[in-house]
Amino acid sequence: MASIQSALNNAAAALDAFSQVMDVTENNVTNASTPGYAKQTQTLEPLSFDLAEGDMGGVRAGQVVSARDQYAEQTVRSAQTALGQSTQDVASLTNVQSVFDISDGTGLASDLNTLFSNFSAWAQTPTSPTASQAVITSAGNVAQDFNETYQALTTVQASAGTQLRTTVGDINQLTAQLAGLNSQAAEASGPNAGLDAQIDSTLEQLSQYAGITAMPQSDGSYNVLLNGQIPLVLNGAQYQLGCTLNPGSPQAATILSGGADVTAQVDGGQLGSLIDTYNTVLPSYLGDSSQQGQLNAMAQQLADSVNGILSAGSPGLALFDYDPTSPSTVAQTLSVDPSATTAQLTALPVGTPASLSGLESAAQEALGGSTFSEYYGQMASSAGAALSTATNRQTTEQATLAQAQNLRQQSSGVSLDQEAMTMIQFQSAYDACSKMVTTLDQLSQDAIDMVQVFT
Amino acid sequence: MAKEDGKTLADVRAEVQRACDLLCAPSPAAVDRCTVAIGSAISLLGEWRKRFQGHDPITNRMTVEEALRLRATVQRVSRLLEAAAAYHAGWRQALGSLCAGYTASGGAAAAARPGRLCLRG
Repeated sequence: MASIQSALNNAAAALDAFSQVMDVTENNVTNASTPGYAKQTQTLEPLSFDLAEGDMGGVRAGQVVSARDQYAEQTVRSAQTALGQSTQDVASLTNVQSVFDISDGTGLASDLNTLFSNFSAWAQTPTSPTASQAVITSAGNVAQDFNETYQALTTVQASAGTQLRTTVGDINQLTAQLAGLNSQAAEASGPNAGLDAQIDSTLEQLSQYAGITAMPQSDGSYNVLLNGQIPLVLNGAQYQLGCTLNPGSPQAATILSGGADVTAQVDGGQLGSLIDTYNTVLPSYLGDSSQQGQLNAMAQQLADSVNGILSAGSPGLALFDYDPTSPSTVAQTLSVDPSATTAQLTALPVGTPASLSGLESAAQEALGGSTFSEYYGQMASSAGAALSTATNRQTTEQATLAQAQNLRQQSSGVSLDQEAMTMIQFQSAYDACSKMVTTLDQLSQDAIDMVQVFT
Repeated sequence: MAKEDGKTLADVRAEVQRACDLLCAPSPAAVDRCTVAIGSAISLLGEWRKRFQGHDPITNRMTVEEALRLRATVQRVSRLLEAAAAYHAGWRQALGSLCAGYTASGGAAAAARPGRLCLRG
């Protein structure tokens, strides 16, 4: 009688277990297109079979196991980080490049050419008030162009600063969300596919902002570290990031965690890109307390060279004026002496205007072998080249992310046996393809060498 | 002639782009097809190089731009191949540790090729 009872109990347990399998399958179908959802598998555990003890065997429902492969998830998150970084690079460098636009024949490049043309014309007719006035006017235009370029770069810097603060705020919002989800996971009685999907989706969003390491815990929660070192979320606790901006100092933007400077630990993502723009790219043009900046160096060289030639004789004239106490704001403070007149220019010693013809060659030494126009052209083309590289990288990272997402899809639910077989096939296919790509890489480099690249 | 130079490079780029598309969803068969596409690109580019080797640099803007686009696409296919190979190399290690444990030095053991044993009595 007891054995019939046991058998009935076993049958009931088995029915219950299979009913749970059906529930999990239904859940998989329903959530097929839910962002972050990973296929769940209901495991079945064997029951003890020992007739002497009255154990009739059978099965019961075990834990619901996520088929999500943590390795594939981390690969997708790394790809999101790389894409976040290159997308932000493109946005920031587009702003920088627009400041140096030389395609429309206006701005600093064009006005520099006009100034040098007017120097030549003045050298032909040193006593001409018209030629002198043209020099004063065009020098004023060049000074104004420097001011405007400096101002435009400062605006780009301010915008990058605002974005930095917003990005840190977004990261804090997401980590707060994750800490809340972690608490829910810890309180839940067992695995929860919906919660798991929310956590995964949040982790993917977070990885666009910065390189993170997400470590799954046994209760379904995740501990999250910034670049594997700085805690962002531990169990149900959030560790906020802070941001301080101090333009003009060698490290203009500082990221803080618990009051400590963690800027150096931030790697990749939108945050990494913005820090690079704010702390490295823009100071290379605008300068800071440790460097003058290319734009200021050029402005000072121009002013000093022209003033040096015009002041050499007696009477002399310092046509350009700037604040000498602040080398990193020369482009901002550069102006033409408002008291300079055509009478002063025409009164300069004979031969002074002609000496201006040596201006470009005199400046070359200070500007690393470049003339003023070439130096400005290099600034513009380096901004353009950086943008072009970032755009190519963005396209590549988009493809890499799509690849990582496909690989995650492929690895979900695949048996280890099947996977081990595929690995062997992959290995030989990659070896062959890799040799071909090396040859193609060399050939395409040859093609570049054979064409005259325009800059 | 200049138009033809650019056209050949565009054809090469189309082949490399095909390889990129294949590598976006890599499977052993896709990687094999990718090798064929790259082989075709190598062949086309080799012919192009033979035609212009020893001549003055090509200055036609369209050809130059096409060469730069090709270079960017080759770098993309290279990155995709590296990423996919690194993924599977890492996954192979993970599989090794899952299936065969660790070596004495702490590395992942190589996953043995699954065999089948059939006993008949």
